[in-house]
Amino acid sequence: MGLLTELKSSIARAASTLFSEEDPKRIGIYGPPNAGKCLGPDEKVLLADGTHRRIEDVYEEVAASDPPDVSDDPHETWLECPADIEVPALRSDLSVEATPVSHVFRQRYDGQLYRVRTRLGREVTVSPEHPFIAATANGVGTVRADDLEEGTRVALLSSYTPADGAWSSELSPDLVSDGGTVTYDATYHRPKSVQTRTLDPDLSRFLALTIAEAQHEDGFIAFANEREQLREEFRAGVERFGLATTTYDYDGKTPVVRVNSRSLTEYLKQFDCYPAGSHGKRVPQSILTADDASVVAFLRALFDCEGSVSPPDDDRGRYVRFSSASRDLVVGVGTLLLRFGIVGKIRDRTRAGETYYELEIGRSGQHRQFRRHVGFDDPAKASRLEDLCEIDSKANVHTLPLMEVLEDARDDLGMTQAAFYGENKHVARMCRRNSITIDRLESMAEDLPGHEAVELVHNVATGDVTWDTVVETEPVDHEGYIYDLTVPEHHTFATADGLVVHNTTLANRIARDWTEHGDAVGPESHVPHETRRARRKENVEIERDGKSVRIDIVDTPGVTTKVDYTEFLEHDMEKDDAVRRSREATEGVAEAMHWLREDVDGVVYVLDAAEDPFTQVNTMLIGIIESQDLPVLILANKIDLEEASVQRIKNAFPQHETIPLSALEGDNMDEVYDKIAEYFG
Amino acid sequence: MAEMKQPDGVQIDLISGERMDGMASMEKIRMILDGVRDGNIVILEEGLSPDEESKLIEVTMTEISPDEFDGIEIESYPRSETAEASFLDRLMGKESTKKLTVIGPANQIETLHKDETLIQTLVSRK
Repeated sequence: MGLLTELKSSIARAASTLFSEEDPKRIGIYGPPNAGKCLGPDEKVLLADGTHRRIEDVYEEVAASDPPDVSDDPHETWLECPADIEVPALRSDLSVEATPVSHVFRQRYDGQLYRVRTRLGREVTVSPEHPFIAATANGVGTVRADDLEEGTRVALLSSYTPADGAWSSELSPDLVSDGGTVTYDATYHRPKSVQTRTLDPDLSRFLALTIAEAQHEDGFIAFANEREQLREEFRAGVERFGLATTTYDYDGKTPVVRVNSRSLTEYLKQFDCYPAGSHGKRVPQSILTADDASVVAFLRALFDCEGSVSPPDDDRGRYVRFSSASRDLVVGVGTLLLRFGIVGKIRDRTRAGETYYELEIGRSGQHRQFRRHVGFDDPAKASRLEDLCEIDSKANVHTLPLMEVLEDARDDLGMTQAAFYGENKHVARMCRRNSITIDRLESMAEDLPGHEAVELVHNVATGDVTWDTVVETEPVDHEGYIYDLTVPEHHTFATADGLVVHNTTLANRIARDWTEHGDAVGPESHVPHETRRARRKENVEIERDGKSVRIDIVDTPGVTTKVDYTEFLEHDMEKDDAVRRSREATEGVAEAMHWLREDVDGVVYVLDAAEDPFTQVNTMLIGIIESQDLPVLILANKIDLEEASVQRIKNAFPQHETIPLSALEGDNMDEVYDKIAEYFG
Repeated sequence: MAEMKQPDGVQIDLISGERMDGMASMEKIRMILDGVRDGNIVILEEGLSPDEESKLIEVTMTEISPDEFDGIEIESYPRSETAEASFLDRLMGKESTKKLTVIGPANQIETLHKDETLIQTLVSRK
């Protein structure tokens, strides 16, 4: 061992003792607040119990219980969630796990959002900075919405088992309950009672028939279908509630079976089955949370009514399809099919000036899954499905740009191409195009050893996501609130149609990126304790090359000399709220100034590299920090932005070291950690 | 254009370095904030020390009150080259803080331009 190496390791040893035995240093993070990574208010998220909720509604529901707001920025609200909100989140091994949401986040945002559409018909509108989980040449990681390109492969849930959570709802106040029956409470007449039931496959099928083919209004349901067997089923379904039907069968018209009962239509609301026009239909929450047997009965009935199977020689390709005028219904059916590992493509089509939606199941493996788990009662459709399953259909072949990563892994393992890829046919071309099919990855996973180098192959093969392709990102103007969830454990959640997105962490400040993104951007970090207002993070541990630095982070709101509550009023805020928020802001800044004089051992000053650094506040603060003789590290954040200039910041504060970084993308975090250890260790 | 007649103008307090020298930090801050809250523009010949600036921000924050006081606008010449040369001075406790500083009510004063030698502000009546 050379002298130099010896010296280095003794320094490292000394450093690690120093770090571990000293009390943690308290580092203040100062700087301006940032914009959020959020979803538009109408985006629906998938909850762990299988239901879909508008993200705004999730927020409002949490807000209704008046939980503590832990945001330290007056433009944001960041509410603690009750313990029972869970979402399916993607773990680093690409499996999905029901995971608690710790906070809901809302921010006023006037500016551009991005509407992202994928080849499988998924769409979501998010803020430019919002990251998706994507497979890129570097492996699986995050890509911001404004960096998505046509062709980027993004993660889409491909299978998912809802957590237990039986649907329950209050009985409608218009119903009078009497043991096993309920009756609509009418003023002028005595309506017929209906027998109460619990959700079982039989009732599920009845709900599906109602949703698929019936005119459903308050007071009656009229089921219209050419097939007598389905009409008969509907009639039998009505009779199980203790009611009678009337049949209308006129020449040249589709026969109709009708039940007139306000008691029934009111009672079905108990199962989240509401009267709706064809565009407003959706899968009831009771079904989204039901057991598999009821879900299968529901799906089978829907596909019997509105499903179709293309004949083997169809020039539109070989598909099992479900169509509806309601995109919500199609998305809901898509969610239900995920239970059986079936991922459909959502398309919109126009017929006679009307838009309708289709869910297409396009691959042979998926056809067989559909036959095995769902299938048809309708004999004609069932036999066509049999035919389809005989054929190997290669529709929707998914490829991933992972060849560079895989070739590196192959090098590590010292394997030949033939051994690594199963066969070496096409490998040269795959390398040239940096593209490998998921089918190939799946077959490789069966033979490759369980080695760290090929973890990605195993994860992709066995994970709960498939890879969809971005076909369009379109900027859209937005004025209003944007929302997000915080999922502390796995940092991801999914939209109702299955796109996996990254969550937001409190305010995206650099401190939070260190402590909550640790896994994603390199060095590990742990936050054992978080105070109520989330201002201080104590004992943040940053591991560098085997040694660890412990620091307390004091995160402060953007420092200012003025706060005008009327600015909040312009953002649709009530006066009380605006006054409260401005008061919190002033308290936060006052506290921050106090800490700066009394209570910090070093300062990380975060500046937005895209903004002019020569502001009075920046100059004063740097002056204050210098006068306290505190070590200061200037971080020039947002270098991922085009208009960013690190040099401008260096020119403004030449006496201090400036480290460029992108906290969002995790760029240059290594240097940031090295410098923290150097400055504050 | 018809213009409302404003009988009174804007008071400007120009405070010499000498006057400030004899005051404790909190006295200075109290004097500045009292002036600003009366709607005056306060101009300090020699500015405040960094420590005083941080206290000024802290006290300002505690006094902000809806419909009454929105805070202050503060501008001074940026400290230029002196910062680099002053390390030794700082060690010796001779740090120069002499920089003309303008402070006014946030809702009445607006900075139009600022560089190392010129500060232009627009002051309006309340």
